[in-house]
Amino acid sequence: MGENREDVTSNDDLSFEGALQRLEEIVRQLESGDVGLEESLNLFEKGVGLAKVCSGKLEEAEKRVEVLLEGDGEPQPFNVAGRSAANR
Amino acid sequence: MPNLRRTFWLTNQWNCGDGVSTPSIFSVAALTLKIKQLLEQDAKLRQVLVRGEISNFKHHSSGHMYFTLKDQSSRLKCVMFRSRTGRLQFSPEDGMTVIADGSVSVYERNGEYQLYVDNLQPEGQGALHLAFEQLKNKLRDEGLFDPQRKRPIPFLPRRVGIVTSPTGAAVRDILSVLDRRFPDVPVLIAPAVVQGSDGPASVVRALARLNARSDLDVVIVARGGGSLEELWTFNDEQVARAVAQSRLPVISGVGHETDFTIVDFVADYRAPTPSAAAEIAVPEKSALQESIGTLQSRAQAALGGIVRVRTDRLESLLVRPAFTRPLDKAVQWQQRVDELVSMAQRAAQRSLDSREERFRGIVGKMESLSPLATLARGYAICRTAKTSEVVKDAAQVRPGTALRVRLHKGELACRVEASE
Repeated sequence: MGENREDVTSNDDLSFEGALQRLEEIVRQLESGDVGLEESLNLFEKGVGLAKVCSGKLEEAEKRVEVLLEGDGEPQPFNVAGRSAANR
Repeated sequence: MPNLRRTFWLTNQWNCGDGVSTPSIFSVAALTLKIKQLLEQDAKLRQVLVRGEISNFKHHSSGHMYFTLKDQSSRLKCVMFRSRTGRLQFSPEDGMTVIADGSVSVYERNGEYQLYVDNLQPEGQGALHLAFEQLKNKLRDEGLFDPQRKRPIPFLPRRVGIVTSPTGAAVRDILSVLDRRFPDVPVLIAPAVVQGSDGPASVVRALARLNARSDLDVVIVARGGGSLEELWTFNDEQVARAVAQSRLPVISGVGHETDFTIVDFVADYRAPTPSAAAEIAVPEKSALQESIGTLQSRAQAALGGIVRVRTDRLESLLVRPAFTRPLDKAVQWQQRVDELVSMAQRAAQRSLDSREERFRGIVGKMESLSPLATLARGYAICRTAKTSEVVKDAAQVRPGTALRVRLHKGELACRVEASE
């Protein structure tokens, strides 16, 4: 049973998980203390940008629960039926 | 043909022909009874052995057992009364293949023929189990279960597709879990029949419809718990192949934790239940938001640390005298020199002064001791004119002696008149 959680880039340049990983890397570098001041400032700025990208992607989703009907029409809003004996 | 026959007996009725058997109109009960009698008359059916797989097994509170025996093509309703069940040496279960020993008759009330079971013996694995194993081996040998084939499940799908029954608990559970973990994730349901003979084609079609779309990133194939028979759709070969060939990654969430269907082996990820499948499909939004926040804080703290180390270092350098009073040393030396010079001067001066003072002191003393100073005070020096001997005693001179008296200013020539 496969258990991979990786990121799938749709049409974006940087996917959520890619951005998050890069942000983690930057934080590790900053915390390591091996980086000079100039570089630190650069990294920090990049990190802020990445955090914005991540947050943005989380908020992008627009809630829509729809169901495909018979035929090839457009999906319709789906209402969860009450307890039904059908198919059980 | 049936039409002809009907016409025949209708006309026959009117004609009241003799010697030809006239079909009668039965009541339901009568027909049922006739069937029952027919069956019961057949000696072969009075004691018959049947092999089949148990399903829909129910051990009624009355003690009677009701179940269905089935194979790939057909089903047979069975009842084993309490009086007989005592003979059982095992616990019958759904899925078991058994040999049933009993008689065929009709339960008139329901119009169902049944096998009235006198005894049951188990026989190896159930047929369905066997079919399951066979298909599993076949597809495994084709490599459809290989871990390398399994696609990664997208971390954050744009939209989640679900193949499931639009009614029932599975879809409700999935939507509820999705809503809890990631409240705004869009969802598209492709409704399907999830059991019975219509199941496989329906599921295959639903999956195809989802794969044809471009706005989905993952599909959940789900069905609530059920018997092996009820879950059989997900052991169907066509369904398994459709899942294996799916363009979109598939998470299977069929039945309960212990249910394993062929679809579970072929899917890109097997979840034990429909709810668990939903947990796999989307991440937890609040946890992600927290992670981002934490990372930002850490970055700020780290950067602050880096800057602070440097400003501290800079400051500690800047407070050193080398920076605040860079001429300090030189000034100090200069000052020292000046001081020494002054000291030397003063010492020289003091020395001079003291000498001078001594000198003056001596001079002063001398002056005060000097007879001239005495004369200035009014005293006179008296000498004899003849010998210039200083006269200190009046008895020294007789009256008439010539004296010379030196005054502070000038001299006097004197003669002694009397001495006293």
